[in-house]
Amino acid sequence: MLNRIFHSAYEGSVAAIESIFAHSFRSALTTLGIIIGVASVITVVSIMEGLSQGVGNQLKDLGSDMVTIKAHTNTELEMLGVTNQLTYDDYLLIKSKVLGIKDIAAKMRAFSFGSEARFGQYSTHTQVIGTESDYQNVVNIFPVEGRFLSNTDDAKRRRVVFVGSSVLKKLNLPSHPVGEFILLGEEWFKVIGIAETRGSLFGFDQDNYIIAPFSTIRSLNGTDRTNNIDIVFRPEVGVDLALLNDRIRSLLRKKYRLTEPEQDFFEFETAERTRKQFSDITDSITYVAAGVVGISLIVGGIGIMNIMLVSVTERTKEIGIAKSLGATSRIILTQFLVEASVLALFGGVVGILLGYLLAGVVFMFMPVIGSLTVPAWAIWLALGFSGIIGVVFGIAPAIKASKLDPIDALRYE
Amino acid sequence: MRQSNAIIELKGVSKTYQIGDEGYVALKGIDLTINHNEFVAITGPSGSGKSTLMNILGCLSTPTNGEYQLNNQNVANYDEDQLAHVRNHSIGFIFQSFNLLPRQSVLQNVIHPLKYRSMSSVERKRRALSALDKVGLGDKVNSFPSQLSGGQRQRVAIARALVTEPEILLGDEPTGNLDSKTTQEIMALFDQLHEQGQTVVLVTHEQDIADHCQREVRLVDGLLASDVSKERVSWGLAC
Repeated sequence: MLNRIFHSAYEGSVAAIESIFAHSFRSALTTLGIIIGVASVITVVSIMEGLSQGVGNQLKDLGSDMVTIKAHTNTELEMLGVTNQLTYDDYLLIKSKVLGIKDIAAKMRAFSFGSEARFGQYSTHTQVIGTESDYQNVVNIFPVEGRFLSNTDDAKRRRVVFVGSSVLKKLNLPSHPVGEFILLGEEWFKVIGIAETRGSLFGFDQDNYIIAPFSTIRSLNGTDRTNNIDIVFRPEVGVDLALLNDRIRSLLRKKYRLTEPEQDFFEFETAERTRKQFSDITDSITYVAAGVVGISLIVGGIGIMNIMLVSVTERTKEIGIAKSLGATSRIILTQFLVEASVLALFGGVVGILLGYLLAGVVFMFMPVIGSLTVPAWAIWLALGFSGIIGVVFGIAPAIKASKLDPIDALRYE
Repeated sequence: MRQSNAIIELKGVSKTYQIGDEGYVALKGIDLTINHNEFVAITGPSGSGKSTLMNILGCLSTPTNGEYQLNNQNVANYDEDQLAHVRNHSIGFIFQSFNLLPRQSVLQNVIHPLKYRSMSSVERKRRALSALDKVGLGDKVNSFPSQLSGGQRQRVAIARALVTEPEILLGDEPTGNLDSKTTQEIMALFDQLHEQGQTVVLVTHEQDIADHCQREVRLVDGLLASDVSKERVSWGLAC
């Protein structure tokens, strides 16, 4: 029995492949839907894959072990008008009590004077933050010229700034700008250093910032609106980050006497989390694309079914001859089913190659970092799906063919 | 003796076609025995039921009633797969319009029925070549049907029928599309096969073809009208 099934599968396949090559042009046209569908899957997947790979590399450069602690307000409280804060005292507490932290710095956004920076006739919008000297060790930014903030700058509330390279360009500062004064709001600040260029991440300029001493910004901000700060730190090498975060969490919860059902008013942001957020985005784009492509594959499948039905009608006589010579219904069924599947699989293979090519072209013109990779799962998925499409849409024509009455089929002209 | 020698035995075979609400009776109870190595013509006017009989003999359809013993097996109640098996092993069909596959070479056409058997491709080819030799087309194996004359095409079809070494060769107006000279050649080939022991059954409405056979079974209105065995008329005299 098994032998007979195998035999009919084999004979069916041979006949199917012969027939596909006999109508090579039509076969190619038939399978176009599948080709386009699969090519788009492969293109989208490889672009997404390359993109997240590139982003992963960039995040690695940023320092994957950097952690930011931020105040966090859940939506429920937010609607009640409450905004949680992290204070400088919290920062001091963590700094003094938690072991295993290598570098830690408080960071505060300047909001007393908008975001406008001026130099002569030039002005630009930028992000102004106040922080401490250790910040450069946490974030890994180093001066190409001049120096970073010092503890004295902070202690004396000096009006000095460390400037990102984009700001330098936008304000058209001279090539050696250390010692120049720029205007932030109504306050003059002296440029003490220029940062290395970091490039852009997710299309965001990473060099558009101005850093001033923490105490300077805090005093300029005043205390009437908010004391909220962010805390950035880098753990010592070999320290379990999760454990460290837990220690900080319980310290802060204890300080504010939070009991179990109450939620944290702060959250930890790690590079790992950012990467995950990004991969969530790329994943959902991939899924949407896969859905769209799924529809196009189904349309492709209908194309195959259509041509297979035409083919059955066209080859009615041939089927009659085959039956008169002893072909069983099963052999005929297998032949048409295999033919549909091979068409679809052929479309899948061509689609994969085409998709690879398209992705290559896209990668050539898109300045994303990361290399062109088509993950193996995408290839297997594309092949598997097109095979299934072939079988699903081939079954109706195949049954039609196998059910033909040999006498009628022989009489068919 | 006659009993054991029978290849085909029909007993009370009838066939009714359902056309709309009405049943059309094509065969009204046929008793017919054909022995090994007979050369039989089935004749009759159009509508006499000879095509229906031919389809039943060839296991392309089954009788509505009655018994059909083919080689001592009652095939009247066989299912489709079993019938396919019988067609592949016991019957060699030859059609009026040859029914060759145009896209396949002569050799592939002859191999075709062997594809439905488990057999090595070497063996298939060997048998196909030997069948083509028998019909005198050993030199045309790689041609395509469109490159052959009508007579040659029918020879290919006969080779295809012979390649399975069937119990009976069943010809449905095998010379209907051929001119008289080619008809003569094809009939000579049937003669030759018959002399080699092949049972041949031809359905025809041409009297000279029927006269050429050993025995003429004549159908009229779905009934056996006459069944005459006779001395064969040599083809040369008929012309």
